[in-house]
Amino acid sequence: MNRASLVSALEAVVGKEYVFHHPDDLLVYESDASVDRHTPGIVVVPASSEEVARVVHLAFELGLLLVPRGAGTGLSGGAVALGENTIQVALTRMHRVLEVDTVNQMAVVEPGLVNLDLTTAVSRYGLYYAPDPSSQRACTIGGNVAENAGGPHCLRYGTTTNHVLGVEVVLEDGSVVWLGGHSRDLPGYDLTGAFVGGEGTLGIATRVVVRLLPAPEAIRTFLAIFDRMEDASAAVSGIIAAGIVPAALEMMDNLAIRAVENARPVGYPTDAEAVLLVEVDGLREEVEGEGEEVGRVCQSLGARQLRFADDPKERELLWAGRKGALGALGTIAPNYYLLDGVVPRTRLLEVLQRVKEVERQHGFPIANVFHAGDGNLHPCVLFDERKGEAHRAIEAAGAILKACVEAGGVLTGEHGVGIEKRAFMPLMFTPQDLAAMERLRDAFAPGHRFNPGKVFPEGATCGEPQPTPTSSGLPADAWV
Amino acid sequence: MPTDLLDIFTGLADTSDILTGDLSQYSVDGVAPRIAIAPRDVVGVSGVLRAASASGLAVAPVGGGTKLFLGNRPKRLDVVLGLRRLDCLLEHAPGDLTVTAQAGVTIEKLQSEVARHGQLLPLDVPLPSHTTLGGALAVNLTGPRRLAYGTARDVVIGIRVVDAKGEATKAGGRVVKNVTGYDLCKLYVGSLGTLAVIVEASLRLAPMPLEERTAVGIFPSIQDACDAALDVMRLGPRAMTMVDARAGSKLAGLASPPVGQQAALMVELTGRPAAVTRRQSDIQATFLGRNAVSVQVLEKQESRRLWPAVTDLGWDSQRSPQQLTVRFGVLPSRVAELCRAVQEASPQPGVSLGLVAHVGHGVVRATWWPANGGPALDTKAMALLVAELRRRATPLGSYAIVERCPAAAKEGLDVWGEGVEGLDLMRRIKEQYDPQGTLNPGRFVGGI
Repeated sequence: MNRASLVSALEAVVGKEYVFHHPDDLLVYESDASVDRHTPGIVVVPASSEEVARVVHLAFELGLLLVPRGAGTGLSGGAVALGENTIQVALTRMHRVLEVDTVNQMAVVEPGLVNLDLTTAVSRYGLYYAPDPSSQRACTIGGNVAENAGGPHCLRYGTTTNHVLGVEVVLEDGSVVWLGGHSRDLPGYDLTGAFVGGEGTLGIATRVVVRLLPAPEAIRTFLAIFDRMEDASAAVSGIIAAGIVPAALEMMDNLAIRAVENARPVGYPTDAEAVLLVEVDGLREEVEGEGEEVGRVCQSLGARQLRFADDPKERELLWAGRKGALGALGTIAPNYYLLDGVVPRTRLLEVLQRVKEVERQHGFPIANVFHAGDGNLHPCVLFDERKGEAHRAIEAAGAILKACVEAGGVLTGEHGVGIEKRAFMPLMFTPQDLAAMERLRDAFAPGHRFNPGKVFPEGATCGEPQPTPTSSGLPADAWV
Repeated sequence: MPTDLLDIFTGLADTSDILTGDLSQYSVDGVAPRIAIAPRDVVGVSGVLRAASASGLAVAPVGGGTKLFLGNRPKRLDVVLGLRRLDCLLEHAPGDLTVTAQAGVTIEKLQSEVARHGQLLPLDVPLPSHTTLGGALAVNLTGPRRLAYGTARDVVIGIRVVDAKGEATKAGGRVVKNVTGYDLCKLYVGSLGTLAVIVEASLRLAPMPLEERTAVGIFPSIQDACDAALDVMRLGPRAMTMVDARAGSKLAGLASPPVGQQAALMVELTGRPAAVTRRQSDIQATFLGRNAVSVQVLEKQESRRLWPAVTDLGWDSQRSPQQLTVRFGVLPSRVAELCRAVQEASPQPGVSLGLVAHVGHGVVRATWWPANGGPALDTKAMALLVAELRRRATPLGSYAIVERCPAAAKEGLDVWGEGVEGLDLMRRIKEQYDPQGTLNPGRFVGGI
């Protein structure tokens, strides 16, 4: 089938206005929030599960590759269409909340629904959807499912996988199957759990059953400023050791503090080594008690300043620096390479010191803005692409990821492997480990038609492209 | 012991790992293996599986053996692979709230180790003193506290398995947040040993709560108890279980509905003392508003005695061999309706029915056993009852899995039920991970 007849065949499924094939129209779809770029062959924007199934079936018959796409906010290249003439399936028209069940605290939604819109839709019932990736104003539930997205509040409440009860999935041959569903512990393998985090390589989610939580009665947010990184790290451990798992526990280092004060000042002392944000939530009595404990730990470790807020407006002020940090890094260097390694939280300090060594050895400033509570680091290697530094910045990043793995950690906590980290997979996994993962893909998608070139290192081929750095392709107010 | 089997394994496993004695003690549903081997390390496990798969033998991995009756009868069984000797607790990192242990460590041992640091393993599986970690993960059975902590799938952060051919692989890691590669932990958890043999796992822990109390409400009807349960869900209890009078009578007088009352609802409250006290008074008011005839509060010690007993309900090994236990899963709002349907389907007097319903997550267990001196349900009557239960459960959105019944009764029924959604995909997964059908052939859904 030639391109023109393929376009008309797709138009017959989704309608003329929802098939894009002119080069100008395809530009929008060539990248996500990483800088990997590749133009898809054709983009289709189906309106229903049935249309997705028909598009997938058509591609199956013709032997074409498919890449699902949500809002394109991913940070690892997951929505970038590799391969020749790949059809990109954008799910953004499928954004309905199909069912809200307040008694059973769950909802059924379409994959293109924006994360925050779900919480907005259910907040009038006193419920919310817990996973809150930083891009939650734009990112979609389908994308969250693909990447098993996290967010600052997953420390206490878990990531996307802990909140998805079932998924309707279109498989490679266009067949539609429900994995999981409304009831718990259905007989058979936990296909839902295996599917979530599949980075779009296993199938296309067309309906998602999610768990909702009752909104907490009270929330208290602390901002603690420390002169020494050692003390801030000790506070992280101290809070956990006190038997508290806060809703969020975030940290920023001195370089990030200075960047924030350069860009949009929020009153951080620029000589402080670390800022800690701690949020506790729950019943009023719970928050009161845990709050006291958090304050005590921070003070006993010599916090220079300790502020707290109980209402939403003040809370926003305390979070403002943290949320603006990534954008603020632009005032220091034009590009950054953003990492997502995770280490056991007790080894945070040690790994941060390794990051400092990498900074010295490789000659790039590295800022740290991260989810300290679960050991999820986000070192940002700052560089200037115009000076041809990209390649060396990637080397520095590689050294950091290696340090994470050596400290008993992993390559990515919430951004996914995608294109970006696939070459690093052998740092963590043996060929046998990877083969065991490939079996899952072989069961779900034996033809490897979905999202080719992602997750797995390209084994024997020597032309493995180097990971590409994430530049300031992010919007200025983005935060991770 | 057949000499051909010895020839196969002596080269690979240490001969002292080969268990002697009457092999029928290792039977699965009355099917005795031809050899039983308990390797002392992962290399030994690999050796056994490599040899077994090369010779086309069928292997049943066994932990503590407390839940071996789960699943259909084995299609074939040659080798019982005991994991009990892999019993090293490899790492408890209190500051990280994680623990890593080999598969043969018992849940009780793990609990007592982490308790020394004021932490707990958030898996309240039945019979923890004999249940091994590997077994608990393979069956993915949960207790009442999953309401707060989730199930094994939410707790496991990393796993090491040996596949059907003897290759050792890992997935996940030892950190609490990780999206590096596919989440195969989810696939192995709950796979009943049909995809690979779990030899090690890393799990997240939770801090022990400062205060624990349980409110027990006695209700005239199951409907009232379930309505009350739905009302208090928002208060975030750690566990919430309803028992009928028969099941309640097994709870050492801690939550037993008196004559004339049909249900007891137990709600476990944990956290800071002030918060627990407030929840407690909210709950008392709610219960009374839902027709409770009494509300009693169990303080810490009694509360701690109650919940393990609730978790073990229906699982004790001393129970009659004629016992039938069926598990259902519905939306919390339909639990009362389901309980009614089960009662209506229940057969003649002389057979006792006990109901245990975890209302917050909708998992319901019904157990039948011969009443004092009464006749047992014969295998035909069991098959008819199960068919009737399925007929009534399906419209309520529930499955009906037979968790326990006499081995003979399994001839006439599929314990998992027919028409499992996604079965084709599950078969393809089995085909990928264990193409020869070495691991537990026939015991899982659809004859996998």
